[in-house]
Amino acid sequence: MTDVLTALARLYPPDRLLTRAASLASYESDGLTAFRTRPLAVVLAESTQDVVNTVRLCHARGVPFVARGSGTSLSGGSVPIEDGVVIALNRMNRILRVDPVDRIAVVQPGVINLDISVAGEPHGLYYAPDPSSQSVCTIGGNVAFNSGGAHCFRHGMTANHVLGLEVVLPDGEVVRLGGDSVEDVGPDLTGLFVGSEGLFGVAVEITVRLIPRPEAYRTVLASYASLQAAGDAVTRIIAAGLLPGAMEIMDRLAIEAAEAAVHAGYPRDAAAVLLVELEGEQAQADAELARLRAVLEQSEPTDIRVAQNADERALLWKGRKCAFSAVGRISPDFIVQDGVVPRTKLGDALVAIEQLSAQHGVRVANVFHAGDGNLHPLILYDGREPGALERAEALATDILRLCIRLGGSITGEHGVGLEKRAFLPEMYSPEDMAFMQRLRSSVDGRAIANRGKMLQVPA
Amino acid sequence: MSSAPGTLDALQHAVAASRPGPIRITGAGTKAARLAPADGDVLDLRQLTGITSYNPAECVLTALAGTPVAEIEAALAAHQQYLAFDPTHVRAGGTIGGTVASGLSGSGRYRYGGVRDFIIGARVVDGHGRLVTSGGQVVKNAAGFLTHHALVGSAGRLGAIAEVTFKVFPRPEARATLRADCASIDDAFAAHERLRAAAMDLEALDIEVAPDLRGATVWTRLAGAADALPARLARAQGLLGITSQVLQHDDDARVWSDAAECAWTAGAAALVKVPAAPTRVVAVTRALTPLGTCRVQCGGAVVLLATSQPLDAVHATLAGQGWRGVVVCGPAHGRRLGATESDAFGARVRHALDPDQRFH
Repeated sequence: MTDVLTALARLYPPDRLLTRAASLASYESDGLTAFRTRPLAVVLAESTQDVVNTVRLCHARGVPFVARGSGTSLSGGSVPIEDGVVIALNRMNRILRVDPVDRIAVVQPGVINLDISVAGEPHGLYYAPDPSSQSVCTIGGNVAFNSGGAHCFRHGMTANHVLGLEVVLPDGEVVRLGGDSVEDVGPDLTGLFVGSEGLFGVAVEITVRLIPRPEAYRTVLASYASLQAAGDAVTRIIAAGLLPGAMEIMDRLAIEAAEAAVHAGYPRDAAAVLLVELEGEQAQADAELARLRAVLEQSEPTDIRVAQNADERALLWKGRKCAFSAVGRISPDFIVQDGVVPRTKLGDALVAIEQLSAQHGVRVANVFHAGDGNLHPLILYDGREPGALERAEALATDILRLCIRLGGSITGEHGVGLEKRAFLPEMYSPEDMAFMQRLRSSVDGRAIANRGKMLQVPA
Repeated sequence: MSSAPGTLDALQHAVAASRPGPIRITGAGTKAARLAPADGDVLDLRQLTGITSYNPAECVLTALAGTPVAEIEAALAAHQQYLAFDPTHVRAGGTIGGTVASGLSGSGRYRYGGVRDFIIGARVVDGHGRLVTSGGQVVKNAAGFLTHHALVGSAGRLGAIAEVTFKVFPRPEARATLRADCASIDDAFAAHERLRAAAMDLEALDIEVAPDLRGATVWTRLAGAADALPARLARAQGLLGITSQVLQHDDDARVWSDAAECAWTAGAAALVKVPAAPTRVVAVTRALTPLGTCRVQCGGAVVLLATSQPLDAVHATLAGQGWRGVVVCGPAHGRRLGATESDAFGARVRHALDPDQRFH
């Protein structure tokens, strides 16, 4: 190991090579604090060449590495590997180019998601994928984990917004995938790289699509006496041929927490609220709003309110966007689960989660992206209570198995990482898992790139 | 030898049993698949047909690779839904597997995206006859490698696409098209740019360039709520700034159905797709026109070239500018033209799916 450190010290000055316990501490875990590992060293990369040199060095010595941005992963995706190297990309945070005519941005991996939209703003453009952590998470991590957000049914996930990549493969070879057009020549390898959780190497330059900000938004909050009714309303909206940009549902506990935190004006007596947002040209958005109102009125709501201006719209969204942190105020600890069910099974899933919550004696607040069936049950517990964490984890596990049983997925947007590695073989067959291992070995024969995430380390 | 498996099992068996020789996969032949390797087997997937599952409320459809796209479109239309990436060669009998393999989307991809933006899962048979699944039946999914993405544009080279799953969208209530004939391509590009730059949600925005650049037609399609459409059409006509004709109902449908059939390429030996971008689309179009007939698609993001010139000439023109292209119809289907990049990642992916290079 000292051999690796000596070699790294030849490449980097002491202020860019962290090896002391005190400076390594802040890199030991990520957004999922249950996992914690001390790396051998952290390299603060400032250029593609830094990444190439570090990866080559790791490859030559068989030392595992993980690239890391802001460390907001909720699946343990950026947790260090024991005796491995962390390649911190936060300093590679330049927006290299914004082309308002071609509607693209070329960025380094350490750029914050939201900063891309800020750069597009003067041109009326934005970057569509909007994970809840978008004000801190980096685009490199979004690429690695195929991040989502609230607009995936209509707009797709990160894979649909990345047009080109420059990638350092796990042996240090640099390749370019895709380009600057929405169309490519040959297999969509850019799309394959996205979501590979760091196992295929490190993206060092990313070309993303920017899209024009819609001319108009029409935002509606409908309240319901039951979660089931809110879920049914979503099915009705789709059946009516509407294609909202976002459809979000929150249950009673989440509403209470959000109201206590930001006073968004959600009805406190509602069992569920459904936030629907239409977007597009003014004339079209108004015509759709009339149809949406008619559909919602048939869905037995207890209340319907339409945002009358940008401030009212912002307030309705504030309640939804703060939901996770607001729940932190009503419970000392919580686990954010991320699972997907077919949208028409939302009602079944919610009833089952309620039963599981009662069985385990653990409270659950539900916030979810209803348009794409992406559940985010917040499992509340008090870590000081003996056995509470274990009960919460047991419930989280039961919810994942429920998602698999209903034909969904163990993760909609957080990725597999360390957290869900054991569940991937429950979703895919042994043959599929064997293929994923073959693909990984073919790309990274020494299994050094983010070893241990998504897939078990091959024997 | 040729085989035409009708089930996934039979497909796996056919691939496994014919080892280790090369394999050529064919469907309906609408995009004129590659020439057979001299000593290879032909795997005809037209019998591997049928919609496996379709739940309109989920907006998700799964079909076996040999299913005609027309059959899928009919099933979707019965529930007022559609494939928003606008598949091509539908009337000609094109299959959904061939659609994915060619990676070719139609003019309607402008609104919501292409094949890569709607595929959410697939099953593929690898070079050893093993069935590999990726993705799933839900529109949002971050579990496992996105192998189905690699199949888009794979041109039969990675494996035998067996089954694909797509996200589908509700079909717009009403549609209409503006036809604007321009005396010069400069006029056409100027009108095109005015529309593209506006905050309008267009279904399609194409320029059909006359041979030898003797003029061009700007085709614009709008869709949405019937009551909002007249005002939006008037707005688009204002932006075009040149006389345009409104086509509705069957007239509107025919324009885009013909475009999807690539009717304008009739008589050409090959169709080449050249990814472009608005800032260079004029240059790409001017450079390619001497080689054949061009159609600008997707607001300038794609130039299609119908050509009967030697492909080496097309290659030389593209390479000279650092541009890239791919043959999407014709015997050289899948051949890449123009500038090249290191294919180290692609080679590793191929090695995992097809270690003996049987599908090459």
